[in-house]
Amino acid sequence: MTYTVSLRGALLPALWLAGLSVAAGFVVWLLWSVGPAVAVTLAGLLLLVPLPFLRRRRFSVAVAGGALCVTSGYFLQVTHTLPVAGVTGVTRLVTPLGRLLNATALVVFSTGGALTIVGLTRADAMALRAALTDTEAPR
Amino acid sequence: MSRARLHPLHFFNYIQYAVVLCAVPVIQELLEWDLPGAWAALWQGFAILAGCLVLTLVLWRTSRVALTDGVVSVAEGLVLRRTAFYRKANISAVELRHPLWLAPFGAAELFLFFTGGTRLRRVKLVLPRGKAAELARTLLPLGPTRAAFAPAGMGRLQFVLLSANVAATGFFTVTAANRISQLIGEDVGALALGGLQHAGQLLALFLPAGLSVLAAVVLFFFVLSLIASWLRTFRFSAGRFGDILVYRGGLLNRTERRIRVSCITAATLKISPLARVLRRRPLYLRAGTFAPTDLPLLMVQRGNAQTLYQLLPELNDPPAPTCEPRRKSPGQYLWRPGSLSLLLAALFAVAQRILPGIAPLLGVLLALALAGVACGVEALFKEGAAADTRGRFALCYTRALTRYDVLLLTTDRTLSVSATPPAQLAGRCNLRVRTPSRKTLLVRSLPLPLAQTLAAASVRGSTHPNTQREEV
Repeated sequence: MTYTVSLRGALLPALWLAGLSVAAGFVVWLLWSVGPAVAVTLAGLLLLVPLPFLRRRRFSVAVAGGALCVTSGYFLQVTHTLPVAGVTGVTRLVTPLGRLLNATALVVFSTGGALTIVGLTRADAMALRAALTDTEAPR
Repeated sequence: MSRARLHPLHFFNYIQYAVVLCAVPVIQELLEWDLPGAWAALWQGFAILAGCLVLTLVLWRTSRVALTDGVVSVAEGLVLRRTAFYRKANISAVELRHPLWLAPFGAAELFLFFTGGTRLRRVKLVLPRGKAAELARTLLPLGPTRAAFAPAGMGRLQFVLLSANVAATGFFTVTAANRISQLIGEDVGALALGGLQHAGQLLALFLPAGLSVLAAVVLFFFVLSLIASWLRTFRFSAGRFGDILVYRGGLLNRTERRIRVSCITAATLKISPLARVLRRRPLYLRAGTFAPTDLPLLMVQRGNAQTLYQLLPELNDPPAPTCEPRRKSPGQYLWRPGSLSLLLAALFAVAQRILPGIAPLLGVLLALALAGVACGVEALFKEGAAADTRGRFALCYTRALTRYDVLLLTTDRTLSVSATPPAQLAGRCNLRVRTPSRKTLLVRSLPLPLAQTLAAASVRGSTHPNTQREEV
């Protein structure tokens, strides 16, 4: 089963990054002046906001052969593979914005580390969570 | 387990600063015996407390804990809804705590530990007492168990002594005194120091002046740690039911720990100077992210490990760590305590002529440094590693004045072998073993072929000790 990030799912981190750019601009305005603040905000909006949409194009999550494979990255593609038997927990975060956009953030904890997946639909997140935790780990 | 809500006190973390902000002025007024002032301060903080109470109630109403199909789910939060799922099969241990401050509210703390992990190490839930016990029972079910180890009489005293940790108690006492001083504005530390100076004056009748203050401080923290240890080990017992190991005890903070034996990663015998004197060794267990250092599972009498093997037959017949003192570099073991001893000896000699007042203090420090040299010599003859056909690793290493005998039961480990060019020429290396408990064990000056065999065995998951020793 393969899961991908929807357009609205990519909009969620894009809006977070837009908010971050505005916050950075606000801090610059407080410490310096209006001009640099606008420049920082615009630079942030132009450079950061497109990233989730680019990332979405090559982002996929698959559970097959007892392993979770997460492929991500537009310019530099990275594939994380972790055995499902090593998954210790899964945390699902739903924000008010995520509710509006039908997008969730999922953090998968395993014995070796953790993976964060942002932008899956609520149904996909539930299905992925079930695929990762509902099977008994081999002893 | 039926669905349950978290206890309202689970959300105390979110409001603790607000409560402290409201409570501190009231306490300050009460300390000055100004009751009308305290009443006024209470009224001023009332709006904040009421807001906190409403927030807690809303969070409590929307929380949910359930165990279905082998998955523990915990949901909390209203605006930012967070739902966490933990797989029961990957839970290595649970700890049920009944702290004194939660008892009047009918709550208990439940900690979940996992088979491994770097970011998710433990989960803390504050639940109604009955629900916490039910969840612990469902996660790691326990039948009727007979206590295999329940120290009493002289054994209890030895167990209390072995469980006491002067350094940790001292650190926590000083930190707590600082925090309390900051909050209530009274210098609690100065008050305690005043008391210690009185004790120091008393001890000065028998000891030199410089040493009496040090002795008073050490004695104070030693007594404190003994009291803490006595409270922790109150009605202590350890037993086993099938795959579940359980040990419980405590007077003020009653604690029960359940460990899945199949998830035990390491068993460590800690041979501290006190353990050498008492000829008893405390045994500490690690099971994935569960790695308590406050309370041992049991104490093993030197040369008599019957109780241990009765409780944990998995630890029976451990491989003897291979050690080749002739190949080792004595400097690696002795340079630190040796150079410290030389420095202190020089200072001691100078102090006896110029400043005789501090000579006794330097003498005590010199004795400690010489004890470090003795432990270094012991490490030279004892430190080593070995593996057996069951894939278990036995490691022996020394840190400061304590020797650790570790039996690694897990095959989930990472080994790294490092050697400087001279060490490589001499055919020795350092071996680092990383375990799921995020603990890295270092064995120094190991024969290079043995380390390579262990590394290869670690990849395979098992090894043959006899052939390995022949290679060495």
